[in-house]
Amino acid sequence: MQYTFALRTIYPYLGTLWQAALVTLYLSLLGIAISLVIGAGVAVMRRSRSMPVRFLGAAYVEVMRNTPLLVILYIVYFALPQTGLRLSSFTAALIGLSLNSAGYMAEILRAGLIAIPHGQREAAASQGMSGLQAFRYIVFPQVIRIVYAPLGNQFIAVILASSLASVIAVEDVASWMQTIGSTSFRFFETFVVAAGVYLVLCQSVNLGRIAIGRALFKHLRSAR
Amino acid sequence: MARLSLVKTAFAAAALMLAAGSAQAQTPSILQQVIQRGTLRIAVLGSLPPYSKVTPSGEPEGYDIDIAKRIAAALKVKPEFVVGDIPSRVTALQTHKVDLTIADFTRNVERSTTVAFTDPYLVTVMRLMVREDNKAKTIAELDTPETRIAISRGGTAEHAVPANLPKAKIVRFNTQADELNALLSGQVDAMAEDNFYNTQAIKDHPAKLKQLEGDLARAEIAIGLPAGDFDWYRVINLWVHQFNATGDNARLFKKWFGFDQPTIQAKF
Repeated sequence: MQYTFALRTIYPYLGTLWQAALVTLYLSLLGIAISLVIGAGVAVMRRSRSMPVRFLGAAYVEVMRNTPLLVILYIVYFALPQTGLRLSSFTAALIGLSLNSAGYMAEILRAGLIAIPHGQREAAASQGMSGLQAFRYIVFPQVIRIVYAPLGNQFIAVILASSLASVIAVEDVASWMQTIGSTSFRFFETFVVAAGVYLVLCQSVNLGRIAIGRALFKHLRSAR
Repeated sequence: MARLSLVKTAFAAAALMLAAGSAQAQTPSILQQVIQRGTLRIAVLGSLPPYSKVTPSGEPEGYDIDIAKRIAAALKVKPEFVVGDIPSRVTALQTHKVDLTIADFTRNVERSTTVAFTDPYLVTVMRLMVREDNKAKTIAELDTPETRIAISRGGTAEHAVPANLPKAKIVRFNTQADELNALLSGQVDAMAEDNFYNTQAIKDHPAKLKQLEGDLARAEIAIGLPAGDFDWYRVINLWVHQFNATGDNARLFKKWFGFDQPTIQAKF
């Protein structure tokens, strides 16, 4: 007998999906914001004149890019309590996700910084601008424009990576999928619904990013 | 309107893809397929000692594994193990990638609408396991809002724990191994699993864990089969009946668990 795909069999469980989607969205948006801040710090470290600082920045990026998020989550949630630091599932997931994503954010932002020719800073200095002023008025607006699209990829990567948080007991969309699948044995239905929810969440965040970008770079569009 | 029909088409396409992976109307019964193929494909779990575990050499071993080997021997075919996780032990049956699932499967009516279950080969009771230093003596003492109890997602505990400990907080994990890690690391105060699993865990972690008195739920552990194949069900269910009746099951249980198997018969 072939399996009969029947979405209606999981209708009774859709009530808890709404809360799960909010947890995924909340975790992802916080993770994006925090990793953007850490990533910016690390990107600046990697451009530092001091060798040890540059080394620290590079070491951070390589450690985070070369360890699976799953392992980081296990360490933060299961191993840290041995040292006396017990974090809730959500906090542990947020820390793991942010630390991991910051490695990628740092590289995206560093690429943006590298893309600004050094001559522009010298030109700004010749106009009497301080280093901070040059960064604020000359470098930063260009960096944002350069990294805006690659950042969008990383935002989506964070939302999708957040699905791993369910292994440390976060009640997100992936947790809903496993729970309802195991309860009803209707895994195919819960897989399809979960995929749909992640698709909608990722597209919503991406469309939001594009809309903000339109507003931010309005002057560039009208100039064209 | 166009959007809606696009969604419907996508779901229909997904359904078709699932249907394509399963048997056609004309295919022979699983019993004939197994005998012609000469192998019996069995889905098992990779990490649930003493039911099943994968040894460093890659060979699965355990109580569930020995049961599978005996069924294969009775059918005069070779066993072929498909080691999987909680979802795949179900979906592998539904897509006919395996002929049987022997993986600590708890049967109930909702689940039996998508797969078939034999009569039980084991009846377990769910109990609370806590760390050795926990001062609680009874289940009732843990029924406080501060208590965090680890359970398996979608398992028997989903109903049993709120029914017995309505105030306690449920913390859901995908595997028993993760629940045990959470209990040992202090992330939860207790875990609700079957008595046999708990007993093994207590043995494996001397002086660290204990069980509280009292049962939370009863679960019937059965072999899973693809739904809708009566011939296959008939043969495997007969095997289970005789495995229980001859005492083979009780002997195999004692070999793996180290104590006598509790009665499988339900008291009505």
